[in-house]
Amino acid sequence: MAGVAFEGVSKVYNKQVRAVDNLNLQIADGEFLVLVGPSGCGKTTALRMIAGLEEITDGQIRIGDRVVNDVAPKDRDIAMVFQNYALYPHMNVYENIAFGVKIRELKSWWWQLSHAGEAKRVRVSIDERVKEVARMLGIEGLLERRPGQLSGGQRQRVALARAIVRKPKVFLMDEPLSNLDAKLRIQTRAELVRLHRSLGVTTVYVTHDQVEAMTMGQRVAIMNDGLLQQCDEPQVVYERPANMFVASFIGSPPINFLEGTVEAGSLNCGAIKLAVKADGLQAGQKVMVGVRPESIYETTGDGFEGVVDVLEHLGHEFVAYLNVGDKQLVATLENTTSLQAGSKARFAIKADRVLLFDPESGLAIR
Amino acid sequence: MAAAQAVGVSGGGRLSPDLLYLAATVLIWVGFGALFVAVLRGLESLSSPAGPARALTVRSAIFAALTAGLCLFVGTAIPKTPGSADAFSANALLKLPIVWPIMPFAGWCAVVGICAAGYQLFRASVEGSIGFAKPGQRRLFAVCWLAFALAGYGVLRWSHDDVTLVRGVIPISATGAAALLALAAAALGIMVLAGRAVRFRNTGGKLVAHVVLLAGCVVFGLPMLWALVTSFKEDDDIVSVNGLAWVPKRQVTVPYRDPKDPRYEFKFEGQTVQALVIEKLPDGQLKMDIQRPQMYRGRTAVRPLSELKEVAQNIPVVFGNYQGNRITGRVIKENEDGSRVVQVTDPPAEAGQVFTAKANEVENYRVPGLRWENYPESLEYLPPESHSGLVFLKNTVLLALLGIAGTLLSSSLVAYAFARVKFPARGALFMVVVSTMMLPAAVTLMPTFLIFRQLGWIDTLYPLWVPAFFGSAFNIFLLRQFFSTIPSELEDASKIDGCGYLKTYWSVMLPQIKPALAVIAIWTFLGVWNNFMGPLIYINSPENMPISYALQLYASDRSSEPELLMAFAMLTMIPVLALFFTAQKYFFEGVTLTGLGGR
Repeated sequence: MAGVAFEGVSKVYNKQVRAVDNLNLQIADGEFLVLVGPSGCGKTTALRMIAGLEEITDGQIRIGDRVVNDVAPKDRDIAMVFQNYALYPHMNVYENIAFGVKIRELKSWWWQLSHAGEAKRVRVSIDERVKEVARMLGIEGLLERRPGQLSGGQRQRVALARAIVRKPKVFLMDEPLSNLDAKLRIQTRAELVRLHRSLGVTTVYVTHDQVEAMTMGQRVAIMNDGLLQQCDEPQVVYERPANMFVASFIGSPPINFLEGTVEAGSLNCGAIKLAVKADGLQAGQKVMVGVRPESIYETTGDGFEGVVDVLEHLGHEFVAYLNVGDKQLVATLENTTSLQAGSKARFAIKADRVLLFDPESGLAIR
Repeated sequence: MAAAQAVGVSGGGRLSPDLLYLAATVLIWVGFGALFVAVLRGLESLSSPAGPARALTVRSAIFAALTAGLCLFVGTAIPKTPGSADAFSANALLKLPIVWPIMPFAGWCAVVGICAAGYQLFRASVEGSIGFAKPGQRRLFAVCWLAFALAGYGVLRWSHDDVTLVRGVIPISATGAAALLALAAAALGIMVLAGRAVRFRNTGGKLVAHVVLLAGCVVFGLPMLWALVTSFKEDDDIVSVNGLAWVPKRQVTVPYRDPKDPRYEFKFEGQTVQALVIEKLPDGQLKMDIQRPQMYRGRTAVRPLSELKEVAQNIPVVFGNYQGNRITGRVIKENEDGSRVVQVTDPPAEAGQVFTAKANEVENYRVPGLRWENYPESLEYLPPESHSGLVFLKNTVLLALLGIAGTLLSSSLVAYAFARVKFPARGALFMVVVSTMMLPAAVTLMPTFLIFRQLGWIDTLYPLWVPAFFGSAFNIFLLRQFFSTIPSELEDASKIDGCGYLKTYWSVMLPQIKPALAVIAIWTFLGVWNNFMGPLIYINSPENMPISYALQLYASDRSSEPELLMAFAMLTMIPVLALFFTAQKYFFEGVTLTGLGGR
């Protein structure tokens, strides 16, 4: 097992498109790291560079202590799970799982002929391992089937089994859950986490779904436009986003941004006044105020007046779209609220939970 | 005639007869075309519902008619002197002028340049009028083409090459004109009907389509049916006074042992043969004249009586008249002059009587039936070294197997490289490979022959299968398209699983395109099975001949016995038919995959 390190890695397509730009990232041995970002942010390219499917334009990638820039994919000791699983349609499940191991361990047909005894021993051990992994993932009953005869979830397990059976140093997963239906996705999410815990293999997981990122990753690396925005534990990323992009990308419903001006002891955001300790901020300075939906609550005391525009019932909570002056805010309210669409009420913001950003650079002010 | 004159300006500043003739010809042909369009549009406008579309049709019909009238009027008015005097002497109702310039390459360049420039200007005006594309670019092209034409003209003048305009006429007699008119009317009718069928999707249109398809099937199926029927015919039906015989008939025969001239069976060179006795030798042995099988005919053998076994001979039953009575008899002897010795068998009163009948005095008793013997006999006629055609079959099967293996391996390997391996100049190389499709096979025939002769491969099978291992452009193109459709994740997965290019190709990519490979294998098989040209050029000796070429032995040696040729042809078709019925799915897939019908 081994960690993965990006050291100033860049990927440039056609000499102009910078898909990944000077990426520096250390992934510890045995860590579950999630690379997340919107489409085209370079997360998949970064993953494919680890796999060796994309050449590295600049910088270097290490797996363990070895620089792998010029190492072929098969020699990097990695396994990858693809978004559409990429199972070989002409092989049955057993052959799909065994294919990579057989190529690796049975070497050439000449070797098999000249080392018949050993080849037989290897074959038996492969057979045992394939069956063991199949049992572990609950697909031992499907070994004779073709991928075309499997459901999405079953294919997903086969793809996982194919990766696991190789006992690689690093698992690479490219949006493996995106083709599953919502229920199965949540179920498999937990299973993947459990699997990682039991195997302890370094895992790099790419997704565009921030829920997956938050729930699965020991650390989350957020990318945008080829640049790494922040890499930290999910809770830290959520509570202390490094910049406005991270703040808006992580969290559902998304964070509200208000333009504000620093005044003595408070922030003036038009209709809303916030009693925020503005340490180190000069009076009159412009800031962007980030307010998480769950920081807004109904109140009878001080606050601002808002009209509920749309109310979404999620069961355990309500999502309310509020019209406050000329602004619209998203708030999550407790399911005990009596508010209706169109009703007017007073709301307040938990001042200690607001996030402040520099409006020009977008960076967090702390 | 100098180049300057060719384009019309003769010394005196008057237009040359050539140019006048050219102009008249062009005008008349354009006029006829416009006339056709005018009539078609007119008919269309009659059948279409009123509306702006109809108004447009009427307008274009009127425009076409005016154009036609003008062109035809001016075309006929221009004085024309045809190139040769006899052209006008033909007694014809109509004389359509026609011209053909005979000039060097530069002249053609000039003509092509002018035509292309005109086309570009036309497109520019059309596209400009509907606010589409860039007419400026078209005009630039037109100028370039004009420059090209001018350059061609310049070279033509500079080279002082002769340009001759062949002036001729197509004489059209009254009946010819009527036929042409009928043809034009039919064409117009079909076009209008087809237009309506598309518009209304009526049953009439469908009916017409089905009738046409059925007619096509009959037209294409008849020769095949004739071949099949002929392969079961007796000699008598091949050349029949009643035209083509579609129902094969069999001569009714009875077994007969001639007491005077018995027929014996014995072993000759390992084969059982039938023979007649020529003479008794002094040592008691018999000298025999072999009658059957055909390939030993005319040879003699000497055998003691103990080795001979008397066999009955099947003789034909005939009808005829004997002493004024209608009788049935059997032919016990055929004489050299065509007359036959007939023994009466019915009515019983005259049974046993023998008389000699002239060729047309008795009538063969024949009933509809199939002569299956043509099939074994067709094999008997083959040269002995072919072992009844088994050698041909072996050669063809060998060629088919090697050809299929070679084509599949080489084409798919190259196609995979073109589809998935990135290497410099890939696109350009692919274009080169594909462009070899444009070369007609006849062009490469000579060079390849010379190469194979240099290699000493004449009269061997090598020239027929070795090239298969070097890929074919069309298959490469087809398979490349297939490889391109396979998701690249499969390849990524196999790379990570530890495959190199070759292993990926063999274990992962190739199995994905099995249907395409099957189609190509079938086509290759058909191609090899029917390949006549290759063996014709490279093979001389019978032991190297494949079946397709062996058929030609019949065509030349046994052309008077088409029933045997057809029987052998039918035999050669059996494997192809078997393949067709077992692999029908892939045949049709092949048609739909490529948009090409059977090749």
